[in-house]
Amino acid sequence: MKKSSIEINKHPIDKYLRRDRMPHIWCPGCGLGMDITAFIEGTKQANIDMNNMQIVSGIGCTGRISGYIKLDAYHTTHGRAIPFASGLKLANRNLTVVVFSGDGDLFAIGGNHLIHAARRNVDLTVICVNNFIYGMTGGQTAPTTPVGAFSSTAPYGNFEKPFNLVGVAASAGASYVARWTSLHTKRLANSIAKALSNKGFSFIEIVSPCPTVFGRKNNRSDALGLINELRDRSRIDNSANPTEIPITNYGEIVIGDFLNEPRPCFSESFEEGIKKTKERIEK
Amino acid sequence: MKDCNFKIVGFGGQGIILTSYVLGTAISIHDGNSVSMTQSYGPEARGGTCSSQLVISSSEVNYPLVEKTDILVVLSQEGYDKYFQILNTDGVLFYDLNMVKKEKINKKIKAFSIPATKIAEDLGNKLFANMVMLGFIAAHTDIVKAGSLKKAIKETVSPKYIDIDLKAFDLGYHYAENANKE
Amino acid sequence: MGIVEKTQKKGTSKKETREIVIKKERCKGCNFCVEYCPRDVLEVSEEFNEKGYHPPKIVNSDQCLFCGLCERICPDFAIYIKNNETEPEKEEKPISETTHGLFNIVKSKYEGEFFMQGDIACAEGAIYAGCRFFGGYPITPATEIAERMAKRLPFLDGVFIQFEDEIASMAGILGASWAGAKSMTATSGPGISLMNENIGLGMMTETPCVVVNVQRGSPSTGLPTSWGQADMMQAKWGSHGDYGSITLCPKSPQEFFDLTIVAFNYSEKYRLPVFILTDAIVGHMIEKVIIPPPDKLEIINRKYTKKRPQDYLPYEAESNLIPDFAKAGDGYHYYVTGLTHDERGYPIMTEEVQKENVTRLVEKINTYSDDIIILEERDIDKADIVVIAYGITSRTVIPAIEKAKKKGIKVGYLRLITIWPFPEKRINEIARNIKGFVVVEMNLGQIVLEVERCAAPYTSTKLVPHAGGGIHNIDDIVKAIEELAHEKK
Repeated sequence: MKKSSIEINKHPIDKYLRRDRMPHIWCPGCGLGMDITAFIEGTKQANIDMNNMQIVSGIGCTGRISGYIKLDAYHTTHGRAIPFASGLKLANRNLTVVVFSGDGDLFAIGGNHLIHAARRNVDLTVICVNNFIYGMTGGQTAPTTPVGAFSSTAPYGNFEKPFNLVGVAASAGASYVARWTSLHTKRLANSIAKALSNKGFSFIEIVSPCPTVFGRKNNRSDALGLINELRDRSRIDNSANPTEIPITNYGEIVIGDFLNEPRPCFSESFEEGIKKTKERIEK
Repeated sequence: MKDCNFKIVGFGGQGIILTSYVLGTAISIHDGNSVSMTQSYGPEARGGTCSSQLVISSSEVNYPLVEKTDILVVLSQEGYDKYFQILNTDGVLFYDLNMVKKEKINKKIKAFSIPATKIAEDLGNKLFANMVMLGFIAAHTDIVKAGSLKKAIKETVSPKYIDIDLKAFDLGYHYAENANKE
Repeated sequence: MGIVEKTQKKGTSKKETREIVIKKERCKGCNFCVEYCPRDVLEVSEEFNEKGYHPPKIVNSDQCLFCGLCERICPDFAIYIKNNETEPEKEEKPISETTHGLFNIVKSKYEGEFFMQGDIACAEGAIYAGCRFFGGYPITPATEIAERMAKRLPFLDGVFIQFEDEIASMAGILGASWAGAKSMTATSGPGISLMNENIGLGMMTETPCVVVNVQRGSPSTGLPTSWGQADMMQAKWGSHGDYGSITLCPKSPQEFFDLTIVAFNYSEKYRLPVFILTDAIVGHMIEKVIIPPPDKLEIINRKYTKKRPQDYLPYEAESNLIPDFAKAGDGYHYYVTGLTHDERGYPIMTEEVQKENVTRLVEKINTYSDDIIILEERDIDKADIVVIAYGITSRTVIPAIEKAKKKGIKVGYLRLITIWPFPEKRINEIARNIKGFVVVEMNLGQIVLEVERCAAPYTSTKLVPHAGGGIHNIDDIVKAIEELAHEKK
């Protein structure tokens, strides 16, 4: 192909990307690009007005997603994507607000915000890309690092029990909960569409390969090997109870569309409460 | 009216803050003088010593705190014991006869007493003692006009208590103070 | 590059052509496409791309079913199925006057004279200024502001939310501001310490909002129900890095009302979080507050761009140094980041961009400092000694000044209503003509450092400190005035 035709040929996703920032900073074999593709497909399925779509992320490899998707996008501080997004959504309910961030950002430094936003059922879609480690800072233990896995701050293997992300989200009150791997692109896209359509707190965990940082510290640095491993270890079970499916270092990864139980979101409850009060006052 | 400091002391639940709020409203909004009100209360919602103070002036109030007071109103023994010392030697003391036992005090101090709690109980609830006291104060000082206080009561208290509060106020206002002046 | 398949759609005369396109320059050589292609259409090539990776090549083109799996699993957007019947790109939406219905300002019915607490006056000031989003966390002595907002906002089509902590509160009001709402939070020292992280984000992203600090005794938990003025420097230097900041300091409930409106105006005009620093006395004090009719006071709203999305750069500041806003949801697709960024909002990690970005954050406040600085002066022309104070302390010094005047000393009074940017110019001017400054503050020496800096070559400065939890003794202030007045120059 001639050089000129490269420029003429536009990847269909390019219109949703900040093309002037490509190629992205992510390492070879990183799952994040696949996650973006699935996300865009999901938004199309859900028929969302892309101008109303607001992408909010925190800090970390996944935090950079907001900088590559060409929508109104906010790259906030470490762990604070969810409260920032809550403000955005509550102040203008016409907006569709998506938080796209990593496991360390959402569950370590930002853990408190996540459980409270889930409890309030704020109308947000939170997509957590879980790679089991802090990638951008060079491989420190995350709240998701499996017992026995190595990191630069767990040089003798991690002793701490990790969070089961879908379990935490479901227990805290999320009204939609799913888990997929980056490889399950089609199912992931379907889930994203459902999450966007749920008026409430939706949570999707994407188990995503990080060959360069997690892989290298854990004898799985081959990108293809790692994605094959995710394929081989995962089992789809939509009826699984999200609180009972923790992820271990080598064991089965149960994936699926676990919970879809809509309930009034924060704004609806708020409005309902005020409406009742107004009625009482008018009487 | 002379510039003066005013302090009211009691325990939580006696309506100390409300009393000084009503008084402050009457003086600042209806009489047109300057008032700065501050308050302090213990961590307990009920029963702890509670006090509130007003700095009243015909011009702008600068220093907002009351270190020495010209008028001291006490509705509890603890408040009396704790705060009597900050009353100026030519000051005025108002106290609730049912709640406070007064010791022998400097003769320059004018002391007025009223069985506010008893009067309030006869009216139905001892919670009205603060309004009885307010009426009593209005009758014996020139810091506020009685009419302004009544307006302030109407604006401040919950509508269902306006009538009874005004009645309590009047009972205090017309209470014939006797024998307790020393 | 690619294979071409021509098909005809049923029921149409349109021909559809599909092909695989590989954008070799984007490939990072993970080989996912090669491995996962169900028909083994792809193979790793011998060729190197610019970055030294081997992009895939098409070998069994006739086997391709155009299933699109390669496109989906490529992490680098480097391969796709081109459908020549792809939908045409929609024209970008022109500027529309989107109204965010939720925030149509409902005029406050609070109008007239009230005997009102400082904290409540602050909340009413915010409502008057058009604030319709409050995010906060309870803390003495600022809680009454949140409580008032919780009561009032829902009936003005606004939103009150009690967040899980102050970190979330600050992040939340920034988000709300980007959604178009005027937003505010209120707290005290411990809360400000937590908020400072996102205050920095607000400064870097130039997000208008108001942060109220009702100061209490400190450091740490300090004196929760008592007062202090020891967060003065924190307001300027609290979050890491260089940025221009604005801090206002009210002395009474009336001024708490007035300055809250000014704070909103400044935040909207200069695009930054603006601080109001008061203290537990003013916060809890009750005095007469006059609330004027709704249109009486000037209200400034942020400036939205008139440019079309394709011409708009979110951080392009004209000579006025302040970039225009774009409305969320209007199709501008801006990117906002706490990283050092250029005028497109893109992170750029170079010395030049850092210099340009940060310098503008500082300069936009310096440039307008004359408009931002508000001072109250009394008797300065004839004075030998000038007493400088702010907030509640500016009231306690008045009786001291009167006393000193009775002793024959010529005393002037300078009240700092704007603390930051610091009124360097004016203090420097005054310093040339007087014998000395007496700085009275409820801390062990903060603003005095700034006064010294501006006064040093011309005159001396004396501090009357107080650790907080009480109020200055008037005689201490008088003594300091006397000492300075009788000092040999």
